[in-house]
Amino acid sequence: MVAFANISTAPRTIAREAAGGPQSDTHKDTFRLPGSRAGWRYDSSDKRDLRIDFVRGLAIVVMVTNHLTAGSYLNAFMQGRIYASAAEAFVFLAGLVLGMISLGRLERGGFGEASGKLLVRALTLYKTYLVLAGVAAVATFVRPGAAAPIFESMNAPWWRVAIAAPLLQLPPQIVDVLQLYVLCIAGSPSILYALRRGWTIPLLVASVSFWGLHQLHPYAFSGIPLGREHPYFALAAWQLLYVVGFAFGYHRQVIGLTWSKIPRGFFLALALPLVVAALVANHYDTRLGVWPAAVTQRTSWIALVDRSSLGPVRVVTVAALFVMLWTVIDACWRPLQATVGPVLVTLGQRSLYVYIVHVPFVVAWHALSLPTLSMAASTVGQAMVLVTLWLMVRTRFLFRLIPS
Amino acid sequence: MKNFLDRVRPITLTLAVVGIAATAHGALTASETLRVPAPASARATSLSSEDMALARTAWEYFKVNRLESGLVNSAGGFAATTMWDVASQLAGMVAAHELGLVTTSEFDGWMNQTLGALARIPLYKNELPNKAYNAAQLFPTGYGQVNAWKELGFSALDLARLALWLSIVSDRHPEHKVACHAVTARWKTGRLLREGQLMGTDLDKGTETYNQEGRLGYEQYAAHGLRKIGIDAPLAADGPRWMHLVPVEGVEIPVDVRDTNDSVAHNYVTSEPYVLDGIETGYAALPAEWAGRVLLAQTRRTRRTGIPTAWSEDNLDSAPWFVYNSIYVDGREWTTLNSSGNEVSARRGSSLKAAVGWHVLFRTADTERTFKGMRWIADPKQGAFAGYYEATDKPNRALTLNTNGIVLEALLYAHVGKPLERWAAESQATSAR
Repeated sequence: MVAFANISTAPRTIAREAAGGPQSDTHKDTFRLPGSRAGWRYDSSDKRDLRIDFVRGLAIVVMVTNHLTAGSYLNAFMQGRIYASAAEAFVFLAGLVLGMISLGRLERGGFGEASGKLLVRALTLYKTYLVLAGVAAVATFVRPGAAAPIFESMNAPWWRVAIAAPLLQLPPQIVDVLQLYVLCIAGSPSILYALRRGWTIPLLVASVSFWGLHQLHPYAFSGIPLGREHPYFALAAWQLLYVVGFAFGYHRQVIGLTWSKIPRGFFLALALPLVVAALVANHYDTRLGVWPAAVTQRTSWIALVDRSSLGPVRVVTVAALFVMLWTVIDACWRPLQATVGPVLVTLGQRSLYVYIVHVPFVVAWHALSLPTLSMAASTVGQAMVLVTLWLMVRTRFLFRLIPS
Repeated sequence: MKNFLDRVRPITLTLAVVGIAATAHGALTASETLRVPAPASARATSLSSEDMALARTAWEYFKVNRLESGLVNSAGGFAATTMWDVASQLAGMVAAHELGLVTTSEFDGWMNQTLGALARIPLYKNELPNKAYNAAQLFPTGYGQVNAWKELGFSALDLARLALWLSIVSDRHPEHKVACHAVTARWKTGRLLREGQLMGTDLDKGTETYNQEGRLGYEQYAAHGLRKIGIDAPLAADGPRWMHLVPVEGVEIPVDVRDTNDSVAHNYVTSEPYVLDGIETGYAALPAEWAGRVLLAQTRRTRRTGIPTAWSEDNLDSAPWFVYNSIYVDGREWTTLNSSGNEVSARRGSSLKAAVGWHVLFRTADTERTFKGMRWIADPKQGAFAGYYEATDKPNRALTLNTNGIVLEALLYAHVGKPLERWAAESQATSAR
């Protein structure tokens, strides 16, 4: 799962940023936090906000390790600890970045050009989805299990699969989030139109309403994909993150100003208890399975934290977690940039590329039965994959062929 | 004026959006609670990791409770079984094999053992299988008295379900066809039927009573099963003859016209026959519309009370040990009776087997919520628990073969995407090997 907003037209690295290299068509420094320790805080006049790349890089690390199923130290630390995953961050950031970029395009070239670029991006992702899902489907027909975990087997004849795939009715694991992106980005011209007309509140109310209707009537707005009970990233629910992100990106200046006027402690006081509460609840719920003990309450709780429906508890958790992360990253930018920055920012700047190339790694990981490795060995294996992905970005491996 | 309109338009649009959403919510709620649901189009689905975990847990019950005879304890650690439970054992074994939980060689060996045991158990009066057996030593027993030889009589309902599952095993695994046939070949079935109705016997202190068996739901399901061994019971199969509609939660549900006013048998309306008929035969025995009505009454109760409702007959983990959670019985709604027919509504609760069954068949938001809310009620090392008690809101920790077998067959239904009777007839056993 990854944020596939194309925010760069030129290859970028940390070194070039530091050297004051040429900046591309990117977003501006947006939500800088005043009052941070001067030597540590993010302070850049670059158009491109590296904190966004940093968060995306972090999400990529979480995503890759989660997809490389194993009982590793990394997964023990990062998987299933809280009611949030990398996917929520990616979808929100995709909207945020596209909102920022689209405003710039709107000002420079008008609504037509901005909308056209969005549709081109949706088409790129659609083609990417078709290639990945198509190759996996063909491989599975030839040899069942060959493309696991994308498909374990094909429970339908080839012609039904061939019809379902282009209609986004095929639910390949790992790849299925692309369907959500295609639909969200294809619908973005409408979002942009509403924002341009000043209909931000109606837009957000519509988005929340759509999400709310899905919580109450989850079968009403989602077609059942071929071979799965329901879509994992239900559009009616997950669009909320994208639309809110898009609106935030579009109104970045106003929001940035408001953000800058509120003390950091306020955000931490608000977000930290929620994050801690989510961690504790998740521990007793998912890890220990002892809370809520009453069946009726547990039934309700399961609906509130449901991932495919993006339950309300997940929305609150994601919001709190993002605010907390952003606050910390903003305040501690320099040390973070100096330590893990070169890896995370590099990965985050090429998120679509990393997402695409991680798919064969995941398939190979399962084919080689690596999920059964010991804790230490699987941790080393996952680290090696992450390093390989980073090297592939640094060496621009197949950049001409694979979209980024 | 233009500025005024520009300011008003977002407010108008916001109100319009809220209005549309509220209207949609109302319409959808009405659709979900007023319309009798129809079974979802059955199609094969990949089981989620949570459902596979449930299947593995249910299969643990089989592994933990497997006896040297090949049979499986009907309740955890209790070496007794009935022919109904043996049918659930066959269902669970077939499902586990299809879901990759047991190897083909182990499955074949275990199935041979089981069918061999069924082919040599002493029959009641050398006629038909007794109602209960010591599952380890294969002799007839009374209910709950596993160590003493005792003949109780035979049950047409139990034998019908076994006949249906022997037919499914035989179709899906032709290599076991001869062994399946050997089980029923020695049955003397003449007394199973009288004047087109299903019959059973009770032997008490040397005196046998010979009674019509089955009420609406179970009766038609059993009549369908007995066709597998060439027994046609037209009166029993004729559901509409015995059915009248009774309002429960504002839903007209099918109820047997025969109640305790004119017979000793209770006319329980509960989920089990409707769930099993849907999963196993695709509603060949009972109209799907009746099943939809029985489900809708439970859906409305869930929404009215906030209590997840999937009522069925079930074992309990404490006295009175077995109850019929009845949506309707003998003129009363939402009543729980024990085996003696006494009301024990304090022990009422929902069953996992009904929750999973309803969900794989109808796939509504309500069935999903109830199923997901009950899916975790299990001990991964012992098996899935029966369900939960409404009074305490705590799990009913009874571990039974019937619950775990039905859980597995329901998941198999979801996996293969068609009624199991048809799936078995259509599939080639060799393709699965």
